[in-house]
Amino acid sequence: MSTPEQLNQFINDTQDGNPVTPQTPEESLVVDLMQLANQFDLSPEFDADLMAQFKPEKTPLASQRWMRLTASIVLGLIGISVLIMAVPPLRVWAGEILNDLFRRDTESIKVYSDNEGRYAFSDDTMSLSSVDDVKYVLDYELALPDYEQWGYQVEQVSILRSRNSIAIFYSRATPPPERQIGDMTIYTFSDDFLLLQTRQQPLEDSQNGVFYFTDEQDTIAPIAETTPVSVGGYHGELVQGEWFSSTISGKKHFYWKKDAPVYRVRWQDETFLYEVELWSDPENAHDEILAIAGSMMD
Amino acid sequence: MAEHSQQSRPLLLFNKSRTQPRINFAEVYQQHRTQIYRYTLARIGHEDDAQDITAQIFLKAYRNLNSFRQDVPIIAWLMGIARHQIADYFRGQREHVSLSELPDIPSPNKSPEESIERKHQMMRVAQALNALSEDRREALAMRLFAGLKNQEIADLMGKSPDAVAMLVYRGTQDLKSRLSEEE
Repeated sequence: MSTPEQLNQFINDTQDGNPVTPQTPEESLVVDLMQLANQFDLSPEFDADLMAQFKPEKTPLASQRWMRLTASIVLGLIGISVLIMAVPPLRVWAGEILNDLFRRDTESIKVYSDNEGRYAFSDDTMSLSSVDDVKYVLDYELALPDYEQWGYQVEQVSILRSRNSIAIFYSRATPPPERQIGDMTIYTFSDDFLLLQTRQQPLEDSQNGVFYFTDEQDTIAPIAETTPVSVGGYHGELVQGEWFSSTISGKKHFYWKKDAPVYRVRWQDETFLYEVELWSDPENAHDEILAIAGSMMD
Repeated sequence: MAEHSQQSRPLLLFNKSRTQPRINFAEVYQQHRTQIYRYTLARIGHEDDAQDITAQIFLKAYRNLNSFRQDVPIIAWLMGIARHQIADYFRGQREHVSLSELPDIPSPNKSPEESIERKHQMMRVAQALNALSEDRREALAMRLFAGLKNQEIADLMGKSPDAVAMLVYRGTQDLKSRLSEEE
């Protein structure tokens, strides 16, 4: 006679296709039932009829023309990009342009200043509990870091559908609820830490090359110090610092604290903008965030 | 003075969407049709009815995508619809189909004898399953016929994975004795 644990393991092994031989009457019955179930499928005709009802609507002709035009422009731009990357002086010039695009000017930064300290969310945003369900919402392949290798787990997946943007929050289960790094307190997120966030957005949906999530998206301050980095062979930048708030006369005001233990790496390939944000100990942050970012491009 | 709190930084936390998500339902159907069909078949025992109910489940899900909460796996949502549809089926079909009424249309890949035999087997299993307690029946059908993991079933049934493992274990023993009694 099996124990519940043994039977459970036997079912897992059978479902995973591992070679197992039933040793008990319960295991034999499980095999019989699963073999019986495997003999039944929807009839092909029935399946085809049903499937036909769920096929996405065909793209209208006008939209197809627009897509062809867009494809032509993109191909043209790719050609120009290849030319730029092949000629060193043009490559330096492109790098400078890219650096400028990564940050907004002073006028465009919206400092967040409501009394609640919260964003106004639109219906356009949605949350998922699992990265597995992202494929039902976004059409592109998700770039995920090897987060488990660093001891993180996915905490929340947020998507801005109109911009095809995704932000994934990860936390570590092991650290205590609060941790002090220098004179800074690491902030809590739910019952855990917010230590890592990754973002991805198609270039065509970005805000002139800047990652766009909401109007109040946390951009970096003009005074932020950046360091050029390479991620998977692509040009990017490493930024340290974070916005903090102070309350004066009952109203919040934000300022940029450049030595806050918050690090971002931002880069782009031919198709996407990527960002990794890490709250970490300054001693390890550079190596860790670059390794995490690099793993997204593997 | 700086406020070192979560709200002091522009952190992205979003409310759940109230609008229809852009879900490729054809992919959802392709990914989960067999799970839903086999689960339904295990509960009903009749191939044609199980196909019809599977269609109803997916059509209902398709029409009600707005009500899909994005914080649960989509298989859990589909399985919830399936359970309701099956309950409706049984409410409208108090009299079970007797074995003599089973259709004898052979499957193209099976001999007529084999096809009828497997239909008989399926019907016997479904009837034995339906004689189990609700929890054991659900756990067993979802585990062995829909191929769900204990954690997924636990989330659906509001129980722990260990409790689900125990339900499957007890359900298997119970089912075995009921099937043996029939022989």
